Amino acid sequence: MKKISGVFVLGLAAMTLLSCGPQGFDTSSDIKLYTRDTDSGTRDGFFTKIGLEKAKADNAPLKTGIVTVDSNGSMMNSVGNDMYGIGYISLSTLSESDAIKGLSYNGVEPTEANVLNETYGLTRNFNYITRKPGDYSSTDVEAVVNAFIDYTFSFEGYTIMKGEHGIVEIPSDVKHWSEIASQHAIMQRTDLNLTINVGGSTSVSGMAQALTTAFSSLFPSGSTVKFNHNHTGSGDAYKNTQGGKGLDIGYLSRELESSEQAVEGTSGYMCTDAIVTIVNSENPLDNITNTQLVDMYGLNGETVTWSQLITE
Amino acid sequence: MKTLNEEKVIKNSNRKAMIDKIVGFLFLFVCIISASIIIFTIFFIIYEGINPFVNQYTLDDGTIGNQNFWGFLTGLSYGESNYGSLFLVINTLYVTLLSAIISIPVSILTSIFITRIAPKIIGEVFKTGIEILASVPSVIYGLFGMGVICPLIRDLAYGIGIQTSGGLSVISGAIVLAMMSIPTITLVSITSIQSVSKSFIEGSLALGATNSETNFKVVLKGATSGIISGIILGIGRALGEATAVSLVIGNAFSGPTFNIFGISSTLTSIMMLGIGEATGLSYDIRFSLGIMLMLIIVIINLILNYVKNKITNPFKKENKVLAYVKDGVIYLKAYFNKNKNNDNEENKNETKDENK
Repeated sequence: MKKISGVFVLGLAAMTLLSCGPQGFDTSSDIKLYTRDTDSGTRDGFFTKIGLEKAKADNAPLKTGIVTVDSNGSMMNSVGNDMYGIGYISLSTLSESDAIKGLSYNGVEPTEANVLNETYGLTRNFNYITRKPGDYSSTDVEAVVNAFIDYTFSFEGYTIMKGEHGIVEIPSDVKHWSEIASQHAIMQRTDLNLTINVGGSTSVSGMAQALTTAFSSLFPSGSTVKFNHNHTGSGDAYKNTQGGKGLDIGYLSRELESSEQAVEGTSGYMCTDAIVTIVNSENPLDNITNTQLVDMYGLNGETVTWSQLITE
Repeated sequence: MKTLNEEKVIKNSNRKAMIDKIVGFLFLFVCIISASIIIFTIFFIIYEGINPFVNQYTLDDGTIGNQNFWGFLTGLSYGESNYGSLFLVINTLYVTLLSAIISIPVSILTSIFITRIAPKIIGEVFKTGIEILASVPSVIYGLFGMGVICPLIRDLAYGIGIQTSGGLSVISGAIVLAMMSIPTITLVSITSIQSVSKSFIEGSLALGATNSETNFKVVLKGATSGIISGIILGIGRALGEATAVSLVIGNAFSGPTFNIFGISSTLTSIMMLGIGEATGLSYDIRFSLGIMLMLIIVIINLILNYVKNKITNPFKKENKVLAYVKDGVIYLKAYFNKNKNNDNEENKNETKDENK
């Protein structure tokens, strides 16, 4: 019995000795890649911008053995736990966490100022598009949609967009909703019973829902205006508003393409979303370029250890 | 004092019988609802799970298509180009097996200690602790795994020269799953060990067997059937667990992974991953994975039940004669069922044949 417990204690001691943990950053270590799940808007934006567009919803163009996490929070946590990890999060969630740090992208630091002056490249714009004037199911719906677009660009609307992690500079001459509301006679009606169909990009869905929820509570009692959200992707925004039927308002997390010609005054820019590449704070790396990222994540990329990026 | 006349008594008893009937129907109704939930669920999952193979979906690159059924069954990677499930099935079985290797011995030894070795008060304290463990929500285990087990595994692996993804690994998943199934297996084992007849134990001790010999050879044997039931429940919990696993296993999208320090993924963890934002094919394919998971659970349960029957009742329904040689002596064992008129107990006779 004594022998057995002796062996046991020895084993335990060996384990504690072994598990004293990694010390210092070893550049010969493998790069451990982290990504978001295929349904994430952040992933969509990241891979589209770095030039791996095919990987935005598919894993086949990526290296194998990539850890998948399903939120910004667990991405930060995982990379914070893994000294050799690299991942990406929405810039708005880059907290002052000691465990991770955000990398400059193509030499530009990830700050809101750099996003707004358009030097930071890992960004994408959130845009909206509505139906053509006169193409709505009723004039009431059209009036409500117009009022809603005005609300989006009121002080309250901008506040909501910022609250939903949109990066936007609130114009100095922005009006409060109380000043604009009187221009929209529809807002005084008490007999409305409407359903507005909203869809498009899944990345904008959170922001769009926050906006519509706040807006639909502004109607006087007696009127019910429901916003029916069905976000299926940026591709459906133009297709189902001006290209066809189904949506009254569509959102895009990219610019309209040349094939998607919108009638003037029916589409516009709302705000910007920025993505930041993060590594463990022990990592000496400060800057990363899009080609380096493609070489890391892409199936045929040849960057597998940190020494290929960090030269001492 | 009030006295009831005969008429009233009869009337009353009729009314009571009526109430009994109504209540009976009510219970039947409630019972039908609760029993049919499983049927509705299975039909719903199957109905939805067939969609990815028959419906047409608009994919992210603008093309229209659906999931190939053969590709689903044999695929070794998971993504829009092909949602394969074979590697997920293998991973799920592998992680569950590893967790069972950890949880079964721990649970059985714990239950023997609590019921047979520990003083009554200490045993009760331990048992209460395990009962509380059984009611801890799975996400708590997941957070514990992420915050404690993963860094531990990371440092341990680093110590032996293996680089892990921050400790996210198969072994972390197996440990978390083992932690979750230990209370289930232990509690059922305790109950079945306590129901082993005292006369067996006393008989064994009286024959000169030590306490340990009695515990392992008599008590455990007597409780085998109950312990296997516990294992079935515990493995069921491990197979169905999603939240905790997806937090610690790394969610690889290709495989299978047999390296215990590599990242992996199970059917449930992939089903969980990003379901909040999923639409279209990516959403519907999760129901197909659900069908796979249910199939696996049913098959494993059938296998374990078969094993249980074999172990506890090896010669059921048949008369058998077993012969074996030991130390140059031929032993004959005869097992047979008695006539139907007698009680159904099985008899066991042993004869010793000195013919060499």
